Amino acid sequence: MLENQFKRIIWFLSDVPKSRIKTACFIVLILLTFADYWTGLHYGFSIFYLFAVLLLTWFVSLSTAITFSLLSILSWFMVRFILITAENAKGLDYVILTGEAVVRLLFLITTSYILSLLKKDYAIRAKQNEELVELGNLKNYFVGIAAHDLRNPLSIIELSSSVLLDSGRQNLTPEQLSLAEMIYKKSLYMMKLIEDYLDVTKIEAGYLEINKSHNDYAAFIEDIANIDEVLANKKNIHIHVEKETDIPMFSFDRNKINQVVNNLLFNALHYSNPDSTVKVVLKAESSSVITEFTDTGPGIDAEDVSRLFETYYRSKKRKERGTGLGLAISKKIVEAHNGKIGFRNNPGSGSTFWFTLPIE
Amino acid sequence: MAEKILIVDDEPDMLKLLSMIIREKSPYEVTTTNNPVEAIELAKKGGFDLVISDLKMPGLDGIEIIEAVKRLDEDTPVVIITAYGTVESASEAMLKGGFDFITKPFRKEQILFTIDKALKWLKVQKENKMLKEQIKKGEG
Repeated sequence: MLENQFKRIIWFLSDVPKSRIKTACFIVLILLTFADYWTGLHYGFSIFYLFAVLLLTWFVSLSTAITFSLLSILSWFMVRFILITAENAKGLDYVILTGEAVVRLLFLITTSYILSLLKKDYAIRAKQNEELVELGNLKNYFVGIAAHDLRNPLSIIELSSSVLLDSGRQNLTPEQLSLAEMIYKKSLYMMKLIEDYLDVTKIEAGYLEINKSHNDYAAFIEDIANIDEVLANKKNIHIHVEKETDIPMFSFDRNKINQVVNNLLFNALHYSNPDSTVKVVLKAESSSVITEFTDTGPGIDAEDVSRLFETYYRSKKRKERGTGLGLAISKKIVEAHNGKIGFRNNPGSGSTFWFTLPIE
Repeated sequence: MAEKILIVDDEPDMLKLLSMIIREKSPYEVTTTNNPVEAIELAKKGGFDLVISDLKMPGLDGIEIIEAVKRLDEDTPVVIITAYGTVESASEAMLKGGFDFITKPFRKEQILFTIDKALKWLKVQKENKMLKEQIKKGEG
């Protein structure tokens, strides 16, 4: 709470140079403070009333604070008037007293006015924030619904085209077969997109659940690499899995880490040159296991480096359409395991994406 | 005699596809309905070795189908088909006595594999019972 208030004040101060009215108010305030110091022997008084005025401005209203300022100065003036009269004051003393009262009054009013500006800005900002959060939720809701509704018919298209492909090997002409294949492949691709959208919606809504189980990690990675080898063979790429050290058994969420490995491996295969080798390296350190994917592709552009793991970010260089979600989802999953994810460009060509998982 | 399978799903296309896949790739007999209430009526008439049901349907859901089937014959395995994001309710279905669940989208090998697994389990279950009865008779 206190930290928030502090942040608000810092934010207000940082905005002062941009706003003429706020700058003017600040200069007046500084002049008034100086006048108060120069004329008065009673700073304690101003601070005492200032505190009440600030509270009233923030929690009630500016007009209440100004009314309070007027009343307090009036009462102060009367008390002082009586006191100095009892001490046989002369004409000049009354002039000084009136001057002091006016300076203090202006000081209080200016301060409360500045605070009320701050309050107004804060209210606007809070409302905007609220609207943004609501908009974000609404977006997630619609993406969720759209993805759900698309998923059912799409799964039927996928399944039926796979049946058609299967039975069509004997009965269809090569042209018809390639059309059926096209339907099947595109439906698989669309399904992947929808799954990514659903994952992001879930993650953004804070529903990323990690269900860990004790598993043989090295065997798990080898299995995935074997499955993806089929994909790799189409580009004549070989996937080489290498264990630099012994990999202990540890707990991780098989489904989620499968998704991460598939994303990174798919990217590595996608960007690598044909007739090359994608290297997957596993090594265990004292408290974590590192998995690295080295491709033979063009490497990561400098402009993409800082934004690559952002949700919906797509490299401009990339011609193909993608969701820009794979890496963002991977990052969330790895972080939910208390691991780290990153990449480096390799000298010469290619890049290495890596992630770590704690051994537990 | 071929084993009989009952499939319940509110999506007629899914029913058509599933029965095509099963008929083409396996010797089992398939009956389908897109009305869960009718499914229970069909189950009452009996003779099904396996029930495959969608989890979310208007009217009756998959969990109620499991309960109804289990009331009729405790041994009949029920396989649940569920959409993405409803794995939690699918686990509830397992607690209620569901045999297994498959998440959409699935490959045809997946559904065929699960059907075989369920029917094998049923066979073992039946043999077990028979053996126990024989032992009982022997003891008696």
